[in-house]
Amino acid sequence: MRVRSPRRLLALLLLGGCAAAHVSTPSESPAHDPEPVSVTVEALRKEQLERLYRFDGDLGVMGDRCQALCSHHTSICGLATRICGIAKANANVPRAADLCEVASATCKDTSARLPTDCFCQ
Amino acid sequence: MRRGLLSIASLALLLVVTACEAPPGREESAAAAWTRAITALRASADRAVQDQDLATAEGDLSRALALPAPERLEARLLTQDLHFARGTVHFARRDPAAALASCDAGLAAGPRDSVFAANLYALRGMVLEATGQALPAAEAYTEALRIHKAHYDAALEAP
Repeated sequence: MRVRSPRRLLALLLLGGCAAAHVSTPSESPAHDPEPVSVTVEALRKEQLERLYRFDGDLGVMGDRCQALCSHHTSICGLATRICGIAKANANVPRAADLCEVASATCKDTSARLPTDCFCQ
Repeated sequence: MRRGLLSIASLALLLVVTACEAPPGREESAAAAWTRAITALRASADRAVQDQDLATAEGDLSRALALPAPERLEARLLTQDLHFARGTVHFARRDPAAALASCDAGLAAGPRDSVFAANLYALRGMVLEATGQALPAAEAYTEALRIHKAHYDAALEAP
């Protein structure tokens, strides 16, 4: 695999992976019921592989951009779901609640800022 | 005679250019060979995972990680991803200590703000969560989230 230009390298960085396998819509807020870890890890790995080896494809600029934005948005909200799940299960830990609050706000913020021409799954 | 001298000069120039380009060519070839090798080992590991042969998968990924990687950013990123893959296998084999070690190795192998690093932090979070370390897990997930947010912002601002 070669990266011949900064743009390609950026595409690699942007499309390289997704940290969580949760799929959300722009209007979705983090829930508090994460999937079983084993299922999530397998989905995470499959998605990671697909994205890693797909980056060199001939995608259009907007396709690249939307794909990257949707991927990161999905990851952000999936991670927020997990963080808030922990906070809910550990209500006596204020730090966890703080992390949940910030993560939820980030999920909502990135949802609100998604371009209207990006249709995330 | 003059044409002959020009031909000799052209040949000499071609030889010089070829000689100058030889090291990068060899480097490219070595990088390509490394990429092919790790891609094949990773594909083999994937098949092994599908067959639920996690020991073979772990062996394939360990062999891939043992190959000397070229000194390039792409190689460092792919190395991070190999550590991530091996970490998921360790985790699936119910070896959280080894999975966390893979996360550490992956984070040390490349930039800490890449999406591959985000994956490693997310995996770290899953392992910590599964082993009852709730707050460290939430902190690890938050690191992954922070990286994705930075890449999201960069993608949004890209022309």
